[in-house]
Amino acid sequence: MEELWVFIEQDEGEVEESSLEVLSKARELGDKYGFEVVAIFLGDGVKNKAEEVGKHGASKVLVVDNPNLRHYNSELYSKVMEKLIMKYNPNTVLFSATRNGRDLAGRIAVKFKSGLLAHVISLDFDESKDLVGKVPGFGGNIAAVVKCIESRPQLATVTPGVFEIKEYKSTFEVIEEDLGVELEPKNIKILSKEKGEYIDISKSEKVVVAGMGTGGRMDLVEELAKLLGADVGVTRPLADIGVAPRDIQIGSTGVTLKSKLALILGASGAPHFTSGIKDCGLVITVNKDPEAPIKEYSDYLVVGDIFEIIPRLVKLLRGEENA
Amino acid sequence: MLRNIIVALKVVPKPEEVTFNPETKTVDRSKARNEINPADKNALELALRLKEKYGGKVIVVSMGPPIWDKYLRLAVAMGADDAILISDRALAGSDTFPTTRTLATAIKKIGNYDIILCGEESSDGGTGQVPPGIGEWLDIPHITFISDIIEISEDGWAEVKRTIKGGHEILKVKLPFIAAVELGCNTPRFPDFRRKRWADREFQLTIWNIGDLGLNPEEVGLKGSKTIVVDLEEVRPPERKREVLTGAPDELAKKLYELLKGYL
Amino acid sequence: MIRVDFENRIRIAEASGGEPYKCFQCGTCTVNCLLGDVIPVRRNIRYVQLGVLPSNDGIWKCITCNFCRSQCPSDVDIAAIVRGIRYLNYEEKRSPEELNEILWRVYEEGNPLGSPRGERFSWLQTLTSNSNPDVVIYTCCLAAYDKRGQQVLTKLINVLQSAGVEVGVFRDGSCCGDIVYHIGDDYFYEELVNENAEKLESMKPSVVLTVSPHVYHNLKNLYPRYNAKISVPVMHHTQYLYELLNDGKLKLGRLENKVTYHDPCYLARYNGLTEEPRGLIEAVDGVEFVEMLHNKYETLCCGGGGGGIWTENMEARRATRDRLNEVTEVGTNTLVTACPYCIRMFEDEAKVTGQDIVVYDIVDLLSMAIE
Repeated sequence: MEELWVFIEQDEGEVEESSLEVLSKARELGDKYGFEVVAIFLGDGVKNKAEEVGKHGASKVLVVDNPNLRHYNSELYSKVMEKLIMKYNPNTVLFSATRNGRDLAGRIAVKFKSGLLAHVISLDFDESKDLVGKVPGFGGNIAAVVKCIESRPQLATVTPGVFEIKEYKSTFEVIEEDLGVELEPKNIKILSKEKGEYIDISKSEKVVVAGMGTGGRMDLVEELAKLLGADVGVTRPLADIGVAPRDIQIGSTGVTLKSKLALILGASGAPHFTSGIKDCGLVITVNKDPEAPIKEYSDYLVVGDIFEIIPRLVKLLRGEENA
Repeated sequence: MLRNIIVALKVVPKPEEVTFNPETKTVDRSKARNEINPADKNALELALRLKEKYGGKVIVVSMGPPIWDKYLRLAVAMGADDAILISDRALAGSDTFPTTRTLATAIKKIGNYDIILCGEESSDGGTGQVPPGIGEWLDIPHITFISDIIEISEDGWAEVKRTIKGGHEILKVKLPFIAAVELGCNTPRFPDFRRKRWADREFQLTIWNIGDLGLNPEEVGLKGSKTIVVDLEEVRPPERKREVLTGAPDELAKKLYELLKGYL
Repeated sequence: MIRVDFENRIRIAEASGGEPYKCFQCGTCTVNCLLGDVIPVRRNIRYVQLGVLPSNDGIWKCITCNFCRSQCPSDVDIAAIVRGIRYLNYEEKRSPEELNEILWRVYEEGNPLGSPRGERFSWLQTLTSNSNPDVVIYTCCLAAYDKRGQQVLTKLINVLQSAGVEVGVFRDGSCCGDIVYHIGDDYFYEELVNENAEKLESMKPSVVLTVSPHVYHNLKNLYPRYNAKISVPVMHHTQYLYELLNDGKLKLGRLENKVTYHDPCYLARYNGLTEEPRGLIEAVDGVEFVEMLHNKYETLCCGGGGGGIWTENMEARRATRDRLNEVTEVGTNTLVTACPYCIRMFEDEAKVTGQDIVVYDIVDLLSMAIE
């Protein structure tokens, strides 16, 4: 049976959730088109984590366990993937379109002269088992349906958050691969890593989003978010100037929100941003300009000065003033 | 002293000005103004800073139609020493496979390179696949999403800062290498207009066709691509109420409170 | 320790029009500076005299209001020194990095806000004539892209048309270059202003009308220094409207109001235009006019000049507040002025301080009086 592979990303043994979304989707496609779904799991001491990966749709988990694979390293990871692909000749390899997933897929594609669909938002096969996916472009306003032409393996990276994580009851086997190659990095070495507490706002129920109109006054935004029980997100310029980490940057180069409520303060509505709020439930924006493009994306546009309205709202939420 | 620092640069239409005709299923870029891909400007800025610190020559290379000429001249005005435009009708319709092949072949032809920089992704296609792809063609290491090159040591290694989930990592990478530079990680310098006048009027832009690169038409463009666009769709924004609320700040705060109450 | 550098001293003095030589270091400037505790005015001039180029924060926080000059016993044009220092810092690549972003926006979109070039006049509904108009309005970017500025501009066109004037609007123009001049990028400024002047000339206006004292100052006083020629008179709208009034073409009705007037720095201090706006205000029957403590040549500042409005210059708002307090002191809540920067700065700050002050352009007032 032809194989459909999913690269499972991890860091220090912690599995990247969006890889499991891709795996769950792969299983659905595998059942439909007759592929064996294989999870490719590289890391250090990850063998005992293979169980928690496999249940999301794999019939086989291929584990490569090596201390040097503890963190992502483009040199080593592409080398391992190359060996594995040469050995097993999968039909398709899927990646989550995270930084590392995109990094790895771009290299593998040229290595195997493969077609690669970028950050797709839908995925399917055609009658000749060529991979077809929808690829958003131009800041997310236009999507192209793109097909791989007769290349094997064929590749795609999948936009995180598009597919749901599912659990399957069927059994799977775990195979540890010994590639018999030396896994010592020659060209890229990791010197240090600095990770703050990572906040994943892609699954937050409520989000307060700060745009440039807030002047980067994160104290005010955070106070409001706290009172609402919401998480904080920002537009790209605020991450650019460094008042907030990239992890909470919303839009086509950041996170796509799926919150029930998004309260957006002082964002004008640039296309690279609005693609990140299209899946939200209720969108309320506060902006000085009633004609700002953000209006198109808002259920309610409150026209006014953030610095006048938000402090008053904070008082109301604290119960210091009666509504 | 560094050898060549090559910046692969793309010109893109401003995304907000690109329109889509759902009837004819065509993307209309004609009314959209072009600009240097924003992340590529960050890459060029980083290249120029490296040159100031370690010497070397900054060379911009781009693959596109002859009208991109003025954007390459703008890059020269910003400080690039040389610019090369790869322009050939046969390149039309290239996906990332022939694109990386063409760019890598041109970079080989330029030769003598220590560092190749690209933007993390383009604002129109946004695949981010080009930098690792070029790295593979040239058989050199690649690193994506870097926000800085901190230091380059005498022994030919560079220390780079790469953004990762939750923070960043510091990597050591051996020269020559290719890196994708994160959008917004620095402020691109504004061109010196004395240099711009020279760049616009006197600078000799090099133009290569695929023959100059030893590539044949079968290897590039649509024919050389591994993917094909079969359809185009508009992604419509979801229907929103778009109700505009105005009034005094006190009133508006109360209205907001009413709207939010149900979510507390 | 400071080492005296005679060559540099000449270089900086020349970039500052020789002004540093006139200073004898009394310190009146620092005492009177509206942002005195962030800008070491006297010390900066001392450095310049010693041949050391200052590049402290104060250089970039200065709103170039030149209130200091109005108090200076030697009449030193201190804003000219600040501009000379900025120019040399820019040449030496020592100016704040963020300023590059403003320059890019002016280059790419023709305005310092970075709003799309194509939307500069997309809001303008009033019909204007572009074939041999009597006046061509060269609007400030803030007036073109800011809702409030658009109101003023629309009213100005209506008021002019009511007086039988054929009005044209300079649609092809970019930013007048004011911010580029203050950043100190002379070569970009030269290119920009020559392009603007050429396009403006091609409209063959009889008079160029500006709504902003900053545009006025640039067109009238700075463009010629960069060989950008405008062959017809450049007038601020208060000047032109005052002429219309005196010619009996502007008919004003009655309006009950007590108002005061804030002289924009670049109108009053830089260009001596103080009587025309007062003449217009007093021509409205029923308007009671009160003068604030600081007026005319010794006017205070809204905090928006010298780039203040385009950068995150929080300190500048101190100047704004000082002025608003003077408005309250004379017992009125109507502040009339004649500059889009002033209107934006005062309106924004009054919201923050909670002062009940209505800010008008003279055109707002005249427009009401005509109705």
